[in-house]
Amino acid sequence: MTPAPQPKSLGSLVLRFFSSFGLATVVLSLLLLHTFLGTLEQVDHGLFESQKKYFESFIVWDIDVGCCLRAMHIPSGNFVMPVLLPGGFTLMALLALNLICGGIMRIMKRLQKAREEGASYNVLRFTGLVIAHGSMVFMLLAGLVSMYWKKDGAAMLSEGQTTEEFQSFHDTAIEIQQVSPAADAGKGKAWVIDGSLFKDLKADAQSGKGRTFTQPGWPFEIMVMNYEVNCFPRKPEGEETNRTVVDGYYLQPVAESPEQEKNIDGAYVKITHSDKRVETGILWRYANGPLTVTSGETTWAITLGRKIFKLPFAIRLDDFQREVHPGTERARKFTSQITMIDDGQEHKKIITMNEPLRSQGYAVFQQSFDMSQRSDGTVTERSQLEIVQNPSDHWPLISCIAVGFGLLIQMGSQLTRFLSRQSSAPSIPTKAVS
Amino acid sequence: MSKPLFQPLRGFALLCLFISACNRLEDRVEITESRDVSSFSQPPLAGATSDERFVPALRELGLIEQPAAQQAPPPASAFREFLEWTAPEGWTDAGEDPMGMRMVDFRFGPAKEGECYISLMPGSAGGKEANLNRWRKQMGQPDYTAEEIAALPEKPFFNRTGTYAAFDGDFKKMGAADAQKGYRLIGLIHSAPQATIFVKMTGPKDLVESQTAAFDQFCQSIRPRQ
Repeated sequence: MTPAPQPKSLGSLVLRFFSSFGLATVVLSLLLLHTFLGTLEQVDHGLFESQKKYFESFIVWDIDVGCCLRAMHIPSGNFVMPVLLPGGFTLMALLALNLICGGIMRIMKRLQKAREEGASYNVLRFTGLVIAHGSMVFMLLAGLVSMYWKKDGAAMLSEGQTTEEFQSFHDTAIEIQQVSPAADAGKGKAWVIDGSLFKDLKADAQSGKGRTFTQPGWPFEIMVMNYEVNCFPRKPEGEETNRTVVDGYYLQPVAESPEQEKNIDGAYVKITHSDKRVETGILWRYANGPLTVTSGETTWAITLGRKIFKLPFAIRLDDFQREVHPGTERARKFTSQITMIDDGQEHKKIITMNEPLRSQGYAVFQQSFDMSQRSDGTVTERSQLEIVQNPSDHWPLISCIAVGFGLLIQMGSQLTRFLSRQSSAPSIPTKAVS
Repeated sequence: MSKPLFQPLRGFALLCLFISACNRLEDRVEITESRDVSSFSQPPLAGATSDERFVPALRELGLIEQPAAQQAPPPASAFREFLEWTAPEGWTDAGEDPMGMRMVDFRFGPAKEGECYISLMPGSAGGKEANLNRWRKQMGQPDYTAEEIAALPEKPFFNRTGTYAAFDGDFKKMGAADAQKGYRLIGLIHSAPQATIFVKMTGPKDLVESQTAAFDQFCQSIRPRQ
């Protein structure tokens, strides 16, 4: 009589579910689906929004079917289908959990089998499995670290120009800097209000929204109000407007562009001086100069722009070269010959397409270039360098090597055991051929 | 009875309502983030008026009109729509310039190493002297003196005349790493208050010399589209 199967505990059922191949298949299929839909939707919604919706989310609430069909050149109207799908974050967390649980389950099964067979087990037999699973989890972790801690942006340089700063691609900030009396060269300081602290102060949500920012020692405090994601300053030109007009301008909101880089944000600020004097101003990202505030003997510049990050070294563009395809003006290769100034030492470097400069945790890529004609007829060339600081920059490479190494150990171990079993098995007698 | 359970819930709901109704005007945040300003960065141009801060950018974005003298040149497609010309034999149209600077762009020669193109700039575009000397620099030649410029010949162009220049040198194309040796540049500039038009030919010296007549013929053939 066979013994009745023992009821499985809840813990083992949960572990079985999270370690199952079925879950891995579903998660990977959904990630594939998200990649497909995200690629199609970026046509209308832009890369940034699409990435946010499908990969940087916990739940996907809808699919823009109309947009997806249009992206595949199938005529369609506007149709958004409500769905409830796990987002990229959820899927990748599940995948990480699946890899961890899967690894544990396989180790446990092998230990149990070894116990049943009364054989001793060799820890080395699990090394490959642990390395392969651990490395894949490490790769997912690299994505998470990159998502939260990566700084990326660009620096635009004319020949001969030097910089040790770069501007974020997406992050907005308000900067307040004392310009008079000016600080000594290299000792200036700018106070930064991160966009996350004022982007919720939208004019359309609730009138009168504002947040006051203070700093001990300042002769004023600054209230940020009515933030607009995409807008431009406009003169009323005789028309009536219910918007606040400051020095002949008000901020005219315009439809938000799906390509986040194209939006030009702006906000109103109210400056309350320590002597209770109040003044209002407009901040706009494309403004040619800052909003100037004078308080007593000091003058301050207030700007709204992309967040600025500092490099641990300076870059001077010595020469920018653009190669074109023969017989056309179409660019084939861009190259920046630069001097890296690090701690007073100058190092000549070349940055070209797919050959970035890497130093002190920063990678500097040749991204693009810009040519503009001035009104005096002269043409200026500028090189655009993409600068990335990613703590997990090399983690995917390490992870891939480790996965390969782990699988090699695992396969090697399986092969050795197979061969040893073959050699120890009784040989089959062969029939003599007469 | 469920009443005791509802009471804390009701209190929580009221608290939520109170928090959501709070006017953000009361929010006060002390700024803690700062950054060191680079010694290489330009100090902010403080003291600008609202017009000085906004008008140039609004013009650049096309949200307000440019002053007449600074209007951008028409796009190449518009140029082709309103003008016509006769391309000399052996010249091939390189198509639209991705940078949008060349209105018409031709290639010629056995390896298509010769170039001839028309560009258009608003207003005086810095003046004839600056542009001629810009060409001289591209060929590694010293600037023309005022006397040399005054002595340059005029050639018929677009029912008027244009200043004609021709000289040899080592041509360093914009953005190129090295200069191309043994080149010749010939060009014609016509400047009017509204716009300045340039026709420029570059290529190996022998090739350009063989195409000089074709250049003249091309310049004279440019006319308003019928």
